[in-house]
Amino acid sequence: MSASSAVAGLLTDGRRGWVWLGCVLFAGALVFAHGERVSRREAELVDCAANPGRCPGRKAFLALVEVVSVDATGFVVLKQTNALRIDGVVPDLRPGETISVIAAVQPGGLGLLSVERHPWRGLKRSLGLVGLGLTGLVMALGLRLRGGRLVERG
Amino acid sequence: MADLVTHLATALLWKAATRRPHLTSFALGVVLPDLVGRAPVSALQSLHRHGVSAPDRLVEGIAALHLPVGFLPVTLALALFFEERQRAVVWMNLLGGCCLHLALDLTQRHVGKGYMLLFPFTDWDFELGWIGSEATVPYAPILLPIALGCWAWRRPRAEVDQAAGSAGSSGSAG
Repeated sequence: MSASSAVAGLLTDGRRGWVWLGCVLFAGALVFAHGERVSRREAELVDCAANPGRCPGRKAFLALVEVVSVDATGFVVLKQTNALRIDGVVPDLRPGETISVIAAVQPGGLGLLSVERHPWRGLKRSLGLVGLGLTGLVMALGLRLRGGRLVERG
Repeated sequence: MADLVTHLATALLWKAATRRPHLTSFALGVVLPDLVGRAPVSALQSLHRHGVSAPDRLVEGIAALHLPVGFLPVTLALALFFEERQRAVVWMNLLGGCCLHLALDLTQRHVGKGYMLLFPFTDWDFELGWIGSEATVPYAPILLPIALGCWAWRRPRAEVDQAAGSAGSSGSAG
């Protein structure tokens, strides 16, 4: 039995609406479950940064976070929607820059252990827009509409 | 994630290597994880900077659509927009593209985290850590024309006819 025949029941026009609704609900459940798990960890980190006595020495790994402000003794990064202050000086750091940080919870909050800079991040975002445009072009050339359904040309 | 241009180039190279049709759905599959699992997060973060905040759970949760289990509902829902006789092969190509995307992303190295490949069953994460997260950027402008050339050279000649003839019977993502 080929893969396509095994899933044929899911792909008929008769069940299309129900399967689509199931996909939306399943995707929604995944988003909810993932959000619960990760945001719980994030909340712990924010709590640790605000109350260092609760988790002294705990390490925080902040991958690909954006610097929102810099001052003489440290900087603030945006981790999803949480702003976290890191104590430690990074030469020539500027707001808007993307960095990855390893920090540790210390008496004053989060102290910088190491930082990795991502100078190509802006160019990567630009390439993302180019890729989006190219995808649109591939779609325009490779798809057509027939009877309210998409048809792939080849 | 590697950049989208590199992801598209890998789709072209894969189709050139396998000489199989359905480049469009495969290419859509290869960019889909970033379109549904990353772009909305960037948009929500931009809104946050302008004072409009979304719930943390939503921002964090969207990344589930960039994981293997998230590929299933997204690609199936998308395949249902296609004609019934093409749906199976389109779905397989969308899924194949998503898997190629993830395979390339897994070669990267991120500070303190990887991809939760077995979510929702475990929080275990993994990545190979061979290259930095922007390592593909300098090579993307070179890789894309090479990939286009390879695909144009190796492209199936009767692609359109083949697609029409085999749409209802082939389930391969190749």
